Amino acid sequence: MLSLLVQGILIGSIYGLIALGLTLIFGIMRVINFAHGTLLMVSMYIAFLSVNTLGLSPYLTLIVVVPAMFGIGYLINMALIQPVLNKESDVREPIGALVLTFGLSVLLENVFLAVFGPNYHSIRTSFSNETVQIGSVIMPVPKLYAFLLASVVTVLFYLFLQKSEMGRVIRAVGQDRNTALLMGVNVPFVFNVAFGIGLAVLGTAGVALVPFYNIHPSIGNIFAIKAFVTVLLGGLGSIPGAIVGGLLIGIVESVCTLWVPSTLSSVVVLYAFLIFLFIRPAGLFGSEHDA
Amino acid sequence: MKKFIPIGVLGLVSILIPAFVDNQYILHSIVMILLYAYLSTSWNIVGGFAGQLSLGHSSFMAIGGYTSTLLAIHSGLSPWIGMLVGGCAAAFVAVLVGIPSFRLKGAYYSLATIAFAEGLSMLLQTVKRIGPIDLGGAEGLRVASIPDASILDFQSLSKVPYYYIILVFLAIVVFVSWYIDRSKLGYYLTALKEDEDAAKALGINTQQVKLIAAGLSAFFTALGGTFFVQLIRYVEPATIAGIDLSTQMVFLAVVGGMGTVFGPLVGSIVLTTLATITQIYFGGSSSGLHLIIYGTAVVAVILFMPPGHGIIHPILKMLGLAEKDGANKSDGRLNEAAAPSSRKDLVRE
Amino acid sequence: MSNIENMPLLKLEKLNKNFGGLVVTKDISMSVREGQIFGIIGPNGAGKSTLFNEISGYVRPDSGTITFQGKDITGLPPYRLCKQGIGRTFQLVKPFPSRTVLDNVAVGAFARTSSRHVALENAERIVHQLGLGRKIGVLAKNLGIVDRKRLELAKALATQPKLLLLDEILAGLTPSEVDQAIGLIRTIRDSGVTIVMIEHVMRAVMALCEHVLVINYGQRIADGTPAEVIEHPEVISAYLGSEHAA
Repeated sequence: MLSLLVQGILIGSIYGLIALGLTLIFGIMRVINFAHGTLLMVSMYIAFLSVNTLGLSPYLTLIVVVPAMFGIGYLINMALIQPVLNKESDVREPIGALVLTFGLSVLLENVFLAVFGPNYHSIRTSFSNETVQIGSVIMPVPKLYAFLLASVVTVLFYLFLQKSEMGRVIRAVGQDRNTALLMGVNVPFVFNVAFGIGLAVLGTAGVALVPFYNIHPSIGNIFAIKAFVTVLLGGLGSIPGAIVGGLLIGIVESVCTLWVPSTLSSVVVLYAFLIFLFIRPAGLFGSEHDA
Repeated sequence: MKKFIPIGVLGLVSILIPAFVDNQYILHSIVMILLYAYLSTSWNIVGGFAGQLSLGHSSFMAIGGYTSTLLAIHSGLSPWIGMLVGGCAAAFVAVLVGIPSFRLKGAYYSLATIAFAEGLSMLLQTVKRIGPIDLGGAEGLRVASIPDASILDFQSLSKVPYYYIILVFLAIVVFVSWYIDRSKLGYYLTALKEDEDAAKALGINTQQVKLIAAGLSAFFTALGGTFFVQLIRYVEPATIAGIDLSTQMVFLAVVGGMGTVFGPLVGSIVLTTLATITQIYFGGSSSGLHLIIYGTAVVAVILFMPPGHGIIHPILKMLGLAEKDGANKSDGRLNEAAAPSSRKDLVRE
Repeated sequence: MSNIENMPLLKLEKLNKNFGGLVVTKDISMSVREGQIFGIIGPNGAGKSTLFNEISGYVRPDSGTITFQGKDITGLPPYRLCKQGIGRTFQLVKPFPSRTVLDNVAVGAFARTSSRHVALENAERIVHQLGLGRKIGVLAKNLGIVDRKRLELAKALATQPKLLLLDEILAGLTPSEVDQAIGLIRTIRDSGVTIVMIEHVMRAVMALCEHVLVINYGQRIADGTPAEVIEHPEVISAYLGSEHAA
């Protein structure tokens, strides 16, 4: 049981990391990025290519992945999302933005499928099959490293938002974009940056996953769904919510394998989430008016 | 009245097609094109008319397909009747799921539909039997091949009967859409889509109206599910409850013009024909090619056309059938206090 | 006999509402007789719109009762209230932008009929009554502010209300437009609709309202005829000498 708990925490930290980007994007721009899972997949392929063509060790690929994902995020927001949001600013429910990110997601997934083929790719490292034992708990090394990376990035991200100038500006825009505008903040630029950062954080999750997860154009989907579950559980726009939510999902998923075959553990999470959504749409930490 | 001329022409042409097309493979492709037109029009009732972006609609196809097939296997019930039972089951499920889901705001609702459909798909792939009923698991179920099948068996070796059946289905669902659009239900759906608060003040029970739309949409989608199963004589969870079908229904409707009666039909015919032709010329390379085309089309339509518009709008303009805009502002004054409820207001925290 | 005559059409008793600690409505009671034009005035942020939202079912009061035609309607949802005969306009008007003026009004008309033919007929009549005849086929998003307000009114009237709640419908109108509107509101009342209006345009309040309730910080500070109320010291200080030129 303890082992399962620990496994849950390890993978949960990744779920939380993925959810961080998503919740940041929503919290600042009120956009639900349906393409989040596919973009995770993109970051994993970038990492994979960096290892194979540049000979970088898996975690060093961060040097390539993070700026690349930031740039991609900046561009996507600037060229695709903001124009659509501006067009829909007097529509009550901006369905167009939802369909856009969804369409982008499908497009990216299938382009990668066409380019990389339907086979799984993977990275073999020296530590891929190693495990570490602490007390009665056995942990696979790549997952442990992933947990460590996720924790470091989460802390850095939190510090950035709270302490840095840019972080303050981003939070201000998230709270009241109109006032920020009046105070001379270049709001569109901040949106682009926020989106870029959201994807950069997502990229670190991709790097963390690559050593132990096989890569395929459609792996994004299941992570996306879990990320959404996490974000909604923790409350859209809540950073601590994303972290706690991720850990919770990881633990629930892991622990329920005691009673349910692992293939069904995702179903359990999904349906439990659905029920939760109906009872408390605002999530654990969200504010009621978002619901 | 002149609105109906293009429809009349289309109708005539479509009735005559099988007379000119001999190739069973091509005919099958055409049947699939019409099926997608049917499915996206069905989706549009809740997605376009009611503005509820359901991204898991294939789950209703699965309910339809599995219901009719299981009933045929275990009670020998004719697939036609099984189809209607499946339709009712799907409508029931849609209402049940809709009751809590519709209280959620747009994106939340879409996420709920994805979660529901994914869950159903996984369940169907994993659970092999429920009691004495064999669900087939991931391999699915076969529809028994009936020798000398007649149209009453909902089966045939030639694709021609299927063609006419789907043509009739399509005509029915388009007619139903058209009728809803001009009826009280249609007015109420538009109202709740454009401004839910205003709709409530005018006596509209928005929850109930959404549920009606959901039920109707699910019913027709399920019928399409049974048709699909009878066409390929196979029901397999990954396909029939999969994200691929759900996505296509949405994309085809959006590109054509969600919320219009003929939009999904036009969008489907244009895009699926394009995809089918592309697939023939590029060989059966990647199955994802059609989605690349659809995905690009969706992104393009949303980026470059006004919200809610699709390719049917310029087409209607060309044919001279577009609604008059009446665009003359009577006074040049800024609409200060008269801004419609907008996201700007929501953001004003 | 006299009992029924004296029974108010709308009665609010000790309504209370607070949002997370902020008191928006405190012990508000008021009584509207059938056929009256009743005014609610008060400084900005006084809680007037919230009161309307409580009466029209968008906000549920924490305590107190609302009675309409003798029946308790507290907490009923807006669509039910509309069916019972309460209509309202919104301060920020809410047209259905992509539909024509006629279709907009028809939505309201469908509240009393299921027939498309009847609804469109009634809608057309109301469109003409409110002076929107020449714009009948125009898309609502292309209307100017005055016409949007007319449309807002038309939609509500199409539901055949017995009680009409007007939320600052005169805001943003020029003096001559205000005069036109005053005449229109009187005509509506004379056709049998009781009116409760939130207003800042004092000229209209003086001209139209038979009874006025003054609210500040969610509480009643005065009520009576317009003449009585403007003499009231608390009312004067609440507005602090800023007389609204209208």
